[in-house]
Amino acid sequence: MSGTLELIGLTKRFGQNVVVDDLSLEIPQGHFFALLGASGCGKTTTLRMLAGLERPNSGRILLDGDDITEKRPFKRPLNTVFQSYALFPHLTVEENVAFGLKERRQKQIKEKVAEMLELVELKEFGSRKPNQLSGGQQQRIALARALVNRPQVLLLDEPLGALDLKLRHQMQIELKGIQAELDLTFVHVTHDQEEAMTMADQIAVMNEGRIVQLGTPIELYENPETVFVANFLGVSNLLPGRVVGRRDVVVEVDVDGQRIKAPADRNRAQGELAHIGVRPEKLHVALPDFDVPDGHNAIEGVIVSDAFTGVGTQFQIRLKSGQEVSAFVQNRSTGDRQAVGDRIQLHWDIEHTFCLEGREDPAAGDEARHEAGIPAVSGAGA
Amino acid sequence: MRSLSRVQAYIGRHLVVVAGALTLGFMMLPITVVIAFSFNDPSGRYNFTWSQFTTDNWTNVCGVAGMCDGVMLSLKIALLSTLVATILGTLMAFALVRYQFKAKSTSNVLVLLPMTMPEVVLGASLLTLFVNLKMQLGFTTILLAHIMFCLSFVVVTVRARLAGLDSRLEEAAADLYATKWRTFRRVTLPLVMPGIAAAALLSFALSFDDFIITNFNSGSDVTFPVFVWGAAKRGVPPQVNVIATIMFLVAISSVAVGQYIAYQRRRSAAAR
Repeated sequence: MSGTLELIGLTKRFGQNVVVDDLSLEIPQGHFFALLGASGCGKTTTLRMLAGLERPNSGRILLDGDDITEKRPFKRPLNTVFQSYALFPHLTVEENVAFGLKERRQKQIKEKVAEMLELVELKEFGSRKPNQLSGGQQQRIALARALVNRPQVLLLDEPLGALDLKLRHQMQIELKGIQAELDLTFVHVTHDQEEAMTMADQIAVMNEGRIVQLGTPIELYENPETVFVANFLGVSNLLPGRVVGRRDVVVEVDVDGQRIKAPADRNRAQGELAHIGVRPEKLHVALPDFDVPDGHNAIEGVIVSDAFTGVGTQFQIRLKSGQEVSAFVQNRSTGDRQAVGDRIQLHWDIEHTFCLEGREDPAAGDEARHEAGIPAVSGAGA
Repeated sequence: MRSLSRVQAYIGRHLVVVAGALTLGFMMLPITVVIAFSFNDPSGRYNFTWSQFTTDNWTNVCGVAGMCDGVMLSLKIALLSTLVATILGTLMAFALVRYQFKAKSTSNVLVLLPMTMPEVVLGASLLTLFVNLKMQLGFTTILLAHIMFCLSFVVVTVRARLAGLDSRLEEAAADLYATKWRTFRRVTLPLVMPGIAAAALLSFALSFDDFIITNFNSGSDVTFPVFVWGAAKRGVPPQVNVIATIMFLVAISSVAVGQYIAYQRRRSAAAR
C-alpha cells in the first residue's frame, strides 16, 4: 500500500487573487492529515488541485514520486468525499457506489459494493435513491462511493459540515476508525478546529494561502508559533510586554512591571515587543499571600466574573493593566472557592508559557475561530 | 336559519373542489364538443348542429379529399422539425449555460426574440426573405420556418433544466474515473433528459399546430391546419373532428402511460 503525497511550490491564482501561495507539504502514507483554516484560506482549492479539479498555476504534485500535476481527474488514484456529498440523484445507492468500479471495468462489482455498504452499515438501503436517505446516511454513502475504489489517498472536503453536532461527533469517531482499519492516507479539509484536533495525526493550519504552522494537534495547541494559531486553536491569554532578558534557557519579558519568564525554545519574538501566552486551563488561581512555587510565573488581579460549569469554573480576571484574562479551574476541591471581587494571584508553570512576536495583531485568528462557530469561552476546559 | 348555515359550511368545506371542477369543466368543454361532433352526421355542409349519431366519419377518415395528405405532411414536418430543433436547441443551451464567450448575454436575449415576435409579423417577413432568396415555397420553407420558431422554446426549456444541475455531480463523476464523454452519458444527459423530452414534446405540438407562419410560407403545400382553414369556408368535414380526437387521445394516453410508469417505479422503490 502506498499513498505518499508531496506538494511542491503549489500556487493557484484566480485573476489577481492568489488563493494558494507557494505551498509545499509532504503527507506521508497512512496519515490522517487535516488542512485547517477559515473559509477563503485556500484549503479547498488545495484539495481540488490534488483531485485534479483545479489546475495549479505553478508547482507540482507528486504521488509516490510520480508527477500527477497534469493528470486528468479520472486518471488519478485518488477519490473525494465532496462537501454536501454530490451523490447522483438519478441512481440508486448501489449504482452510486458501483459508479467508479464500473468506469474502471472492475470485476465482482456486486460483491465489492455489498461489502462496502456493510462497512458503512447501510446494506439494506442499496435500492433506495439518495433523496430517500437522511443526511448522515448520505454522508456514509458518499464515503462508501469513494472508498470502494480503494484509492491511494482519500480526500475529504468538509465531509461532516452538514451534520448536526451529535452525529458529527459520532462520524468523527467512525471516520477515524475506518482510516485506521484501511491504513489509507486521508486528507481532510475543515474549518472546525475541534474536528481537526479530534481526528488528525497532523494538522496544517492555513491562512491566506499559506501554511502558518504544521504539527500534531498537541504540538499546535501547546506550542503555537503565531498569534493566529494561538487564537485559532483553542483560547489563549496573550499579554503584551517587552523582552528584557535573553538567556540560554529562558527569556524574560516585562509585563506591566512584572517579570514573566518563558522557555527560550518557545520564544518567537524577534525584537523587543512580545506577547506572553498561556492557556486558561494552565492557570492556577491563588490567594494574594500564597507562596508561589519556584519555576512559576505570577501576576496579580481581581476576579470580575465566574461561571460554574460542573467540571470546573471559568473565571474572568482583570489585571492591573486593565486587561482581562480567562482562567479555567478544575473542580477538584469542595472547600471555599474564590468569588467575584476577590483579589487573587495567578500563577503558572514557566514551561506552560509561550512567547510570540509582539508586532502581530493580538486578535489575529479570533475572527477565523468565530467563523467556525466556536465561542471564545469554550474549549479551554474538558 | 340552521339549514342555511349548514349549507354555508358545506360550501366552505368543498369550495376548492367545486371551483376546481368548474374550472376543469370550462377547459374540457370545447374538447368534449370536438369529440361529440366527430360522431355527428351533419345534415348540411356545416358540422355545427347535431343531427344524428354515426360512426361513418371514423370508418372513413380519409374519405375527404386531401385531408389525410395534409395530416401526413404535418406529421412529417412536426417530426423533422422537432428532431432538428431539439438537437440544435440542446447544444445551444449547453453552450449558453456552460461556456463563457463574448456574445453570451446578447445570445441569451436573441434566442428569446422569435418567441416575443408576433407570429403574423414573423410569417410575413419570412415570406419576404424566402421570396428574395428565390426559394421555392413548400416543404423546405415550412420545415425551416418551424425549426426556427421551435428552437427558442427548446433552448429556454433545456437551459432551465441545465442551470439547475449541480456542477459538482460532474466533478464527482470525473473523480470516479469517468471520462468527459462517460460523464455526459451517465450523469449529465440522464439528468437533463426530462428537460429535453419536454422540449421535444413542446416542439412537436407547436409545429403540428402552426397555421399562421405556415400559411405564409407553404406555397401550394397543404398541412393539416392549412387544410382546416381552407375547408372552413366551404364547411368543415366531421373527419377533422376525428383527427383532432385521435391527436387528443394520443396525447392523453402518452401522459397516462408516463404517469403509470413513474407510479410503478416509486412503488417498487418503496417496497424494496
